Amino acid sequence: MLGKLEIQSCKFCELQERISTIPRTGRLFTNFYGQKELINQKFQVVQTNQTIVFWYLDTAVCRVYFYSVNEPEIKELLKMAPQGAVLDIISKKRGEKDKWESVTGFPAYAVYGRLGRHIVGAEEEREHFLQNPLDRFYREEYGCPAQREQLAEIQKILRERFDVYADHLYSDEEMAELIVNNQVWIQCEDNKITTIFVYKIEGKKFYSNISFNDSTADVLYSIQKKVLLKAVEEYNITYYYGWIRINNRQALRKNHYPDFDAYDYVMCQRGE
Amino acid sequence: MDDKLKKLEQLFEMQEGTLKPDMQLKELEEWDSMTRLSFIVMMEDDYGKKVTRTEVMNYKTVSDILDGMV
Repeated sequence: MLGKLEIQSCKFCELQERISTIPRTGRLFTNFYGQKELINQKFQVVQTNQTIVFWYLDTAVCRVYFYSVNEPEIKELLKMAPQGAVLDIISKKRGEKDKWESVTGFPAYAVYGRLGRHIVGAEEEREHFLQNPLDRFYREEYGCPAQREQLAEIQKILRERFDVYADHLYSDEEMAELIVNNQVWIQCEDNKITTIFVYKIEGKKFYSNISFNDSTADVLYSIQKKVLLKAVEEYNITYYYGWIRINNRQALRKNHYPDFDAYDYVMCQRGE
Repeated sequence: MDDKLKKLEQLFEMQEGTLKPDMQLKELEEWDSMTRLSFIVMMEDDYGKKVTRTEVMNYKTVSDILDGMV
């Protein structure tokens, strides 16, 4: 039985100190790996000697993390997180929806698969693209970097078309920065944005979690190819990855029903 | 009309007899970016007709597609 627990506020560095006090006396359960994007966040924390649960308000949802060597406590402490809070649990294993529902007490909301690929070099990557059936439709002229004044239109489209709970959408400030860095590419038809591709460079990894395409498949393919090849040359990219919802028929088909190398179990108190 | 519908059903990877002219394309998940591209290719290969991306994106119903298949 847990005593009365108090919710406290803390910064990222303090959070890491608190985590370091938890003894590794049993099997560790966590969805926190020191994610860099959390460095500037302020958290609400609730803690026992063996478990720490913390959360912060992302662009539109409250994201929750846990770090525990006491499984039954996880569920109890997670009850203190705000309604609608979302947990992302990354695992190499598929079919763990029931397991994480049982551990966290949160219903599974969606499952994403990671589509990852090692990149050897620019030449090999060019060859890889040539094997793609879509390559015969490749056009260099498709796509251009988005401009700052297109920020509002881009955000409107993404908020309408993506799932705010499961997809990690960027705040206006983050998106503005990505635009300045030429990491948001678009295609327009009749002065309307029909295709959006957003990527990030994480060291030598190329990461894309947002691609939207109301146009034809060749447009997005051309943008992806052009942007990735450029990044491989500029940043010596060695790994490409992105996430797709495992029941997204369209994305699965476009990616030739791929094998995933990791899964993201998105758990939300709202349920499916 | 039936032949054209059958052809579209193949393109959409849908079962025969399931596609109806009055269906809204925005409600058909099969009408995705890949199908739109395949449609443009099919029109060029089978009908000798160049259809633009803008035209394709302006189609609202299955009937709009069928009207273009001449």
